[in-house]
Amino acid sequence: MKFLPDIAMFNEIRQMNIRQLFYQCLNFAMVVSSALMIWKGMMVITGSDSPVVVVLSGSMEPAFYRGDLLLLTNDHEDPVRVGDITVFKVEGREIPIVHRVIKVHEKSADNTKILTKGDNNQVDDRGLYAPGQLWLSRSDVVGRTKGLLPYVGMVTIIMNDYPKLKYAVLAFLGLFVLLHKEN
Amino acid sequence: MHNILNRANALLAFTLWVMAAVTAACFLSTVFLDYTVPTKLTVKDIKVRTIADYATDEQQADLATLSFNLNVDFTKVFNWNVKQLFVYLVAEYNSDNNAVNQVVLWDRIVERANRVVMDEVNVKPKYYFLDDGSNLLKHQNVTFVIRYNVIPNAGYLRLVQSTDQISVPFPTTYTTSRRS
Amino acid sequence: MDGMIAMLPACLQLSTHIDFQGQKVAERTYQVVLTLAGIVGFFVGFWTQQLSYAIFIVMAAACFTGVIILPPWSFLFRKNEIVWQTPAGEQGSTSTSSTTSAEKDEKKKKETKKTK
Repeated sequence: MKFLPDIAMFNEIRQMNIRQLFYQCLNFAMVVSSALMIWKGMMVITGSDSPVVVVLSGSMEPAFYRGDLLLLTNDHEDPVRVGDITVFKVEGREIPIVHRVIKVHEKSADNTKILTKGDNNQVDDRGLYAPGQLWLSRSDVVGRTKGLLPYVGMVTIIMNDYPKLKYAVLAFLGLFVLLHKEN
Repeated sequence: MHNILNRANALLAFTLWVMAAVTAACFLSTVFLDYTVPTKLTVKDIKVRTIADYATDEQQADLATLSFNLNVDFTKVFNWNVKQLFVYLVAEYNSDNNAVNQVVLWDRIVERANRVVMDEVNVKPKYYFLDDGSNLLKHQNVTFVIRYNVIPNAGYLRLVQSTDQISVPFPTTYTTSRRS
Repeated sequence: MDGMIAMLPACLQLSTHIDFQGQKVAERTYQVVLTLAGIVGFFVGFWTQQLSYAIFIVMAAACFTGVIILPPWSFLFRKNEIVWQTPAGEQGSTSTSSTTSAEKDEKKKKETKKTK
């Protein structure tokens, strides 16, 4: 460990032999893969590609504020009906939108016309859809909101607003897990 | 725990755990309650006219106008896990064009402190009652029902249907009058 | 964390250590106070049907506990001072409480030398 600079931060790792170093890397890999397993497991259980989302805009106030966490499911057996708070993606926009369904005209399970509107908006969402698109279809809907956890997503909002903070926190956490010895 | 940062870290983590436990207990204490309330709803003055509508296939659509009375008391629904209610009036009907049609005509957000008892008379719909085509005329029964979304402080978002709903036949001719 | 603190400028390195008995007392204190606050908060919130009351009670208890355990009060947390042995190589009295960290490092070096 002679190549590590003589800074106090590296004290704990400098005392390790090669076997303990491998253990540190393994620890780090365990943390990362546990998080990944939980995420993918939730995707399978709920059937949705993003089972947990943070509310980013204020268009559903006062029901959902910015920073609330939403739990989604995407059950294709259960048809989309008026009043459901759906999360949908519009072509050309990468951020999904969380709004309430106000009109449904369904010919069959895969031929459905859906219109949405945010509770806090004055007009329906036709202005947000792709140009020329007047209705949403069932395939545009990526999930339906089933649960709510307030304030839990505040960290995401802060990190989205200040991206440099996000990189700083990630670097700090990464270094901390790699260099700190578990007792 | 030998320096202040370790103690602060441990204290903060434990505080967050306790707050999560209290919130979970609040959720558990309210998840099995009954949230249905009876409502009194009447619909009258139904008029149907046909207008040009670019959103439908045939470029013509039926537009219905009406007014309704609503009487409901939501006080027993509000408990410590209910942030607010989103109440809306839905018109549902089948047609030859579409197997299922649902249109929200009117909605209101009911918060804890104000307007928990609703006694509305002669309310006009907030949103246009447009059909996807011309199927409203002569319709035998269009069902009107009040539903509400119970939005919790934390936990399950519940959609409740009130116990009463009414079915109304629609007029057989278009109105020619200008005013609704 | 200790490594990072050692990198701070000397004026910020105030000693906030507390002895081992004090650490046990501090840990027990915050566990008991916060759990009690959680239970009391739940019942107050349930009685008044306001979740905000429950959360505020827990947060107030956390601040109160912070005032008690964060600063190293000498009358609470520094009663059983650790008696450090004098460094090896000099005559020193036997210690009454736990061994020093310097001694532990010495023992470790001897053990690793033996296994290698």
